Amino acid sequence: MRKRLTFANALNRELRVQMRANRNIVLFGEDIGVYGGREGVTRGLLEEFGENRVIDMPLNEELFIGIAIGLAQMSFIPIVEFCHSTLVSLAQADIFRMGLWKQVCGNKFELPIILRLRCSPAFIGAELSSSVLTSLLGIPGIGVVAPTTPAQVTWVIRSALQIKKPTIVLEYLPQYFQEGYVEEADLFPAGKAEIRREGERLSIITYSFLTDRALRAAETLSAEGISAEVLDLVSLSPLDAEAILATSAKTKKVLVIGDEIPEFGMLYAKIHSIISRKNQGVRVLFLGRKDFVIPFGPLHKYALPSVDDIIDSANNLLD
Amino acid sequence: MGNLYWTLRAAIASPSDKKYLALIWENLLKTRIFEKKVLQLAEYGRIEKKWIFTGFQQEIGQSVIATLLGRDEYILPSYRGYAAIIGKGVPLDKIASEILCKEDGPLYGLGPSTSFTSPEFGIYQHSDILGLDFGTAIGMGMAIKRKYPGKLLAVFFGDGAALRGPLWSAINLSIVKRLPILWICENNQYSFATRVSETTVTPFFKKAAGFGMDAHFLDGSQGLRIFFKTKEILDKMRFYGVPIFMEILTYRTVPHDLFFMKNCQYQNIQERNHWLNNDGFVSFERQLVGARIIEKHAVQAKKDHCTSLVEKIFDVAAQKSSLSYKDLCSVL
Repeated sequence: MRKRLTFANALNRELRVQMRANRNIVLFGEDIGVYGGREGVTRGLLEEFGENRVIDMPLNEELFIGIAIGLAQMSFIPIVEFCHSTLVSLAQADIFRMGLWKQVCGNKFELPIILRLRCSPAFIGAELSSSVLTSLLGIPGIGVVAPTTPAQVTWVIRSALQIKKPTIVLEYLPQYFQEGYVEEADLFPAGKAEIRREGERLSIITYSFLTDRALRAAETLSAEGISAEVLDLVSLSPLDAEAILATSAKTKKVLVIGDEIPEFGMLYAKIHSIISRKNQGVRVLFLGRKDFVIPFGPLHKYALPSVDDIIDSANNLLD
Repeated sequence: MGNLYWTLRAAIASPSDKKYLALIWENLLKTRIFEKKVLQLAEYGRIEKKWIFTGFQQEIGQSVIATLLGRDEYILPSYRGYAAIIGKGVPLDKIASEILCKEDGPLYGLGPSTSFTSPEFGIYQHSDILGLDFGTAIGMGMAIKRKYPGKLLAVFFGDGAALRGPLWSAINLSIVKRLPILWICENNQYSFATRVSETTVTPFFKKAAGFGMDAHFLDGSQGLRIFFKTKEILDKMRFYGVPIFMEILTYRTVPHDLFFMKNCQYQNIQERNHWLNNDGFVSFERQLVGARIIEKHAVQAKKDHCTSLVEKIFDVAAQKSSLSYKDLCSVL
């Protein structure tokens, strides 16, 4: 049965369904219980599941991931919310440990941990808006996903619970309000990208809120006679190498869009590496965040790639 | 309270307490002999794991607490010494295999030398990044409270790790959420080569008490006092499900690790000699003999038996096979 929900409501619904099915799932984070979480993602869950399973925490982000490891190694499934993604840096040592802990402990248990990071692209100043992607992509043993649509976030939570490995879900703020259909479909294969728009002249590879901008740019380009393919990565680690190679082989011109600063970015380097190893003669360009500290106020909109920036870059690529 | 008081108290203890005391003595004996053997092998270059941390003369607290815990209770041991894992019941041959990198060790010979995940004994692994265990302890405490009420987790850490901020966040959280965690600070008075008086003004147990937690300070050379106090603490924790803090004062009479600079004079000689001459294990043994819990004539025989057992265990372990590189890839 098709249901049209916002991203936030889809996430709420999926968490509820999964918590009903599995009593070992425990949520914790700041203000997720009484307040219902930022953007209402965990609204109503405290009332249904109680304070032993929906746990309001003090400002102790430095402990959150360690707590998740402790719960997971005792057969619980912790889903942790970080109300600002950059606060995860307070627990950086534990992120690193999370990736290797199962092996360090001789594979004696699974570590089914889900970290939900609420990412505010450029809205709330440099310290709380900067991209965490660069620091996360370099850590082995953890999955990083950035769902764009309500259907994707549903699939991402389901597959994270199935694969039982540490997974970081980047939830970009604009997506919470996006509406879409949540298909009651078979499990979307973990790690697979989604072609959001077919095209022939160039490929735009991106994720989350930047996918929406890419789609708007592709619409404008189409009116100018340029057919752009938009590949929504969904999984940023591991990347869907097959989908990246297929689209790059098809168009030979790839524009990668991300929220990292190009000079320091990991995503572009990984995608470029995948393409250059197998597909010769493909031109790859990266459009990312500008290299300045994100300001408060209206000038923040210049920090990240806009629709116009994407169109300009696409035209540069085609010249 | 003097030694005579504790000896008399042990003498009139219940049969169950006497049994535990005898077991603790045996565990301490095994630990002491086992560690001596490990150090000997390390000095001869027979151990390929380079980081060895002996807990010599710091064993009593770990041994008492671990022995008094149930098989279905949990510990997060520190990296120093074997007393906690031996007290928890891990067979010596398994520990020897792990130390000698043999594939039948609890972590296939691939883990650290002093602590390894053995869920069947309730032992979970410490992190080598000191300070990360505290979050893990909170998570485990939440799990135990929910799934195993009446059980508890004992977390061991040193005075160095006790300076890390996350400890105090975790202690606060444990009391706010009423988690059954026994926080045990083994203060051997040196964080690597830095004296504890240079790193903190307030004793650790007082800091913990400041959070509203029941907190106790014990001399690590007084085994019987630690025993009776720990029993009291464990009973309270099992009944009320609350966290409690213990600071056990010991002294680092041995180098921090085998690579520690040998000629570094970082300790006061008189202080060091005082602790060297007040070996808690020796006085504990004397008190148990005085209380007739162990027989004087049996002590030497037991020591000889333990020594030859440990020798045999290491001889057998040395002959076992280790993982090959090919096996490593499939195991991990």
